Order: sequence, then structure tokens, then C-alpha cells
Amino acid sequence: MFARLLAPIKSSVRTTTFRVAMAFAGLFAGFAILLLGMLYATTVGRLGLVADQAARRELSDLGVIWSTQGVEGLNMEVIQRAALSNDTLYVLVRPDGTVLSGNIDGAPIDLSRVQRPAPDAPLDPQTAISNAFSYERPNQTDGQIEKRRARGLFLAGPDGFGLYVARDLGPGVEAADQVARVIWIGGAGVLAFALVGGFLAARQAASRVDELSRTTRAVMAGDLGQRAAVRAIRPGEGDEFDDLTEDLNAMLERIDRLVVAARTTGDSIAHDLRSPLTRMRARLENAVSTATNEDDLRDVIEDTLHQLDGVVATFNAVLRLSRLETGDGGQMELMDVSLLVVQLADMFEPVIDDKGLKFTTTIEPDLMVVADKSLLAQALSNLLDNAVKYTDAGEIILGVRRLKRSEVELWVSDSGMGIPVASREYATQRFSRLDSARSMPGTGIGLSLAVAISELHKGRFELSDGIVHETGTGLKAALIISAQR
Amino acid sequence: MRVLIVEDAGETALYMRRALEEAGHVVDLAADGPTGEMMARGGAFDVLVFDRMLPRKDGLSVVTDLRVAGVVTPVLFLSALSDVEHRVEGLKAGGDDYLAKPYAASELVARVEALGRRHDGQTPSTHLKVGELEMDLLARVVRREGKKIDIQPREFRLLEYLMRNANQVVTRTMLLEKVWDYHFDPQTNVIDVHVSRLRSKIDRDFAQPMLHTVRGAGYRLEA
Repeated sequence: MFARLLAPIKSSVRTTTFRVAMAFAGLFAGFAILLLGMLYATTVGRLGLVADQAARRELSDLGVIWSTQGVEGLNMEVIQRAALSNDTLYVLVRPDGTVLSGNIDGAPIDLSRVQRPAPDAPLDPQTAISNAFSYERPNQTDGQIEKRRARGLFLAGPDGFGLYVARDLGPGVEAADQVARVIWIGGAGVLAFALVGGFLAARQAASRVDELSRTTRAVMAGDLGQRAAVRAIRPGEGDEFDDLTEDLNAMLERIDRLVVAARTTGDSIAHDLRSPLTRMRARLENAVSTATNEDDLRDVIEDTLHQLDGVVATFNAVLRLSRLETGDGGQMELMDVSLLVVQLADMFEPVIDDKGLKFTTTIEPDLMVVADKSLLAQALSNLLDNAVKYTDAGEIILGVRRLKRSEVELWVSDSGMGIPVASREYATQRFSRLDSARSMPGTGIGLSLAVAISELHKGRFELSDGIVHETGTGLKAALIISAQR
Repeated sequence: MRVLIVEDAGETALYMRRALEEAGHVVDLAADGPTGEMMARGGAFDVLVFDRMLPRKDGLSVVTDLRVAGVVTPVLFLSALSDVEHRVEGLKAGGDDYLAKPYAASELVARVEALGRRHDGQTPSTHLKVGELEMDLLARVVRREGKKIDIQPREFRLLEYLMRNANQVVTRTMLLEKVWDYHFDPQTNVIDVHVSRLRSKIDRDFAQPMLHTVRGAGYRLEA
């Protein structure tokens, strides 16, 4: 139970965000402590120096009395001064260490280790040993016992007595102590805030990462349709997680397409090759058992060869389409698309003319695009093939022109049977052959190729109404790609 | 013509040999890259036919090395890789033509013959002559039996290719590739229509037809 409650905290603590937050908090707190610590040390050091000097002055005063009036005179002076003074502490000790006079209980110093001067040596305040010590006394305002600090000096006299004089560090040290307390509390506060802040930031980051993980796990489990949500309202305004999410989504999109393409390629090959293969097999089988002379066999074989070529053509078209649909291939170059259309017109003119159709071209000259020449030619050739195939009377128009927004439209318009608006989308799908086209030869892949080629050029493919004639409306098929200025 | 076929699939190689031998050529076979390379360096072949994927050393590398070594014999690549990039790779490696599998025997023979002829060392001439049919490439004039024939630019290019490969079969795919420079398969009979237009111009007013259709293969211009 407890472990379960702790789990989210544990997982947050593990995150990089949390660690970074903690590292910064530690750094910041450490720096603050160092800075304030130095401030404290110099303040206290300065106060100690001042107290030390005051103690030294006092000691040298008393030293004069000691050396002129002896221990008795010193004793009188110490008693007097101790009674009057608040900030200065005195204690005069006998050679055995007991207190003779003064305002504290004893010299805060290890007397046994003090070096005694020789009995005939003069009293020399310079030989005093200094130390720091703390003591307790009632507060002057409210009588509370408080701990105070002082700097002291001990002077051993040649007569065996010892004088200890100390000076309280004064109110300054309280301020410094206050500062020290603030340092500790503040440091702890900074760390606590960093801990909480880091935890929250880590939680926030973890939730975004979790979202991405959830998506990738769902995808790994087989649901390629999953996409992670982007939080930014407008594109390009998101944070780094949004960027990552968008990249992930784009990657999934591509993988999805590849997978679908691989699947449909297999399906398509099976679908479109199985029927001609079955037909060929049946014919050969039939010929083996029923043919009576060599000429019959020859006919069947020749016919089968012809069909086999068709199978190969379909196979190639399917493979090419798959490669195009996955965004593969395409050798983009700057090219004069008007020239390409002129060449195609030149190529198809006799075919159209032979079928008794009128052929018109409307070609805007010198239109430059960045495109794969051979793919564009193939797409247009497919459209022209279709137009010739499905138009029995009337006219075919081949054109290229510049549209608004710097786009180039390559189109083929005919006065054929057309495609009803409702069927137009279906017509651009792979292997879709409208019922009206079933009797015609073809792979059912021409328009899909044109669509894939226009997409490869980051353009689009549009089917619309073609030439209106007595028995209906023809089809206009257009490839729209961006123009080069 | 002496032809070297480097192909590791034995049965395919034998079919190829038979097809070329039926067309009157002498054929040698090699089954892997290094053997093919050695034979190509040593033998006086008119055309080399290399499968792209060969055991021990692939066709592309062999041909690249042959070219570096100064062997200029025309090379026809055969490959199951049919995309434009693969074709470009083959031509860059030093190949002169590229044929995707599967192919018709007639296509193979026609291409081998076209390559062998090209290598005959024809200097870029300005005048072509096949029988009584003459073509002036500079004045862009065509005459048959001295009579000027009115011909369109695209028909001129088509006829030029046919004349350069006179007395040989040229396939529809070859015409599409060499005359129009398209490497895809138009489903309509575009090439046939162009050829029949050309035929009506050069043959109609004359007793003897020159431009023949070879059934199941392509066309042949004959003197």
C-alpha cells in the first residue's frame, strides 16, 4: 500500500527533470550558504578583532597596576572594575587556580598548560595567551539567560597569580548569529522549494512523456492509427514536447503509409495477377488436351505470351506505384514543363487523329517547375491514354497553364463518357475500374499512378467536368504542382 | 557477330544463346563475374551481355573494371531491377543499354544487333543511305529514288533511327526509348501509329515496301 503510494514519487524522482531541478537547487543553496557563510565569518572575525584589542588595552592597563601595586592593588582594581563593567569580564586566580576576584566563575583556560614566567621576570602583557569563549548571563532587557561570546586574554604573573580579561563581542554578534540562522533556514527552504518544484516539473514532464509512451506502446501493440496529442493551439507555437510529438506523429504517418503500401502491394498483385494467370493456365491446359494441330497450339502459345506481357506490365506498374506511394524515387530537376507537354502532344497527336478525334493544345510557354521529367511524362501519358481510350467522338484538349498562387496545371480534357461526380474518388483508387471501363484493356492503375506522381511532387490531382457534348460531359483530369518563378 | 553472354542462370543463358544463334551470331557463355571479365578482356567480342547480379563479382563492378581497363566493347545489361535509377546506375557503370527482365527473345536480339552495329565505327555521318532511300541530316531532307519526301520533324527522327539500324529488327520499346527517350509503357499503340504514318510517306507511292512489320517483335527497314 505504502509502496504503491510512493511509486509515482519514485518515478518522478527518477526523471531527468527532477534531477536537474535538484542539482540546481543544491548548487544554488550551496552558493548561498558559501556567500552568507563568508559574510558571517568576516563579521564575527571583525568583531573578534575589536574585542581582542579592547581586552588587550584593558590587560595592559591592569598590567601596569599589577606591576606597580602588586597583586593586592590589582585585586582591588579588578573588584572595582568587575562591579562596574558589563561588557568586560575579569577574573584573578591564585596560583592554585582558585578565584580571588572577578565577575566570572573562573578562567576559561587550562591553567596547567600555561607557561609560567620565571619568578624574577618582569610582568609582560605581550606574553598573554588569547582565546575565544562563550558564557551565559541574564539578558539585560528581560532577564532571560542567554549565551554570549567573548574574546579573552590570560596573563600569568611572575608571582604565580593569573589575570584573565575578556571582552564581550557585543550586539553585533547577535546580528551575525541571526544571519547564520537565516542561512540555515533559508538553505533548507530553498532545498525544500526545489524539491517540490522539481517534483512538480518532473510530474509535468513525465505526464507528457507518458502520453508519448502510451502512443508508442499502442503502436507497438499494433494500432498504427494512434497519434499523440499536440498541446499547442497553433502550429509552431508548441514547446519542445510538441515538437517531439509532431515528429513522432509524422514518423508514424510515414510508417503507416509504408505498412499500408506493403500490404496493398501484396493484395494488389494477388488481386490483379491472379485472374490473368488463372485464365492463361486454363487456356494452356485446355490446349494441351484439346488442340489437334500445331497451328492451334501456336495460336494459344502466342496469345498466352501476349497475356504474359500484360501481366508483367501490370506487375511493373504495381511496383512502381508502391514505390511512388511511399515517397520513394523521383529525380527532381528544374525543367521546362511547357516543352514536355509539347513533346507529349507531338507523340499523341497521330493516335488521337487516327481515332478521328480533334486534338487541341493550349500551352502556355516557358513554365518552369522542379519535377521528375520522366514521371510527369508518364502521368500525362496515362491521362492521354485514358482520354483516347474512353473518347469515341469529339475532341481531346491537352494543356498547361499557370494558376494563381504560383501553381502549374497540366490537364487533359476530353469529350468522352466522363465519370459521374460520385464515382470520381473511387476512380483514382488502385485497381478500381468503373463498370463502364471493364470491357476496356488496362491495368486499372493509370489514375492511381497519376495521383501518386502528383503527390510525390507535393501537388494534387483533380478530376472535374470535361468537354460538354450532345450525349454527356467528358472528363478533365488535372495535375497541379507548384511552379518555379 | 560474336557475343559474350554472362549469365548465371543456366537455362536462361541457353535460351539466350539459341535465340542469338538463330539470328546468325556466334555466342560464348560465362556463368560468373570473374570468368566473364577474363573472357571479355581476352576475346574479340562485338557485344557483351551482362546480367547485373552475378556470382563472385556483380555485373556493374565487372563492367566498371572493364571500362577502366580500356575495353570499349558495347555492353547490354540485363536486370530484374527495372527502375529508372537502376537503369541510370547501369549506364553510369559503363553499360550502353539496359534491358529489364523478363524480356522477349526478339527484344534481346534486336538490342544486341543495334549495339553491335553502333560499334561498327560509323563516324557521325551527315548522310544516310538505305537502298534508294536517302537522308541528308544537315538539310533535313529525305529522298527516295531521288524524289523528295515531305516529312515532319518527329518522323524524321524516327526514320533516322530506323535507317541507322537498317535491315535489323527494332522493337517498339527501343523506338520509345531511343527516339522519344521515354522509359515507360504507353498503353495505347502510339509507336505503331507513328510508324504507320511514316510508312505511308516513304512506301505509298513506290512499288517496293521498305518498312516492314515483324510480327511479335517490331519493325525492320529494308533496302
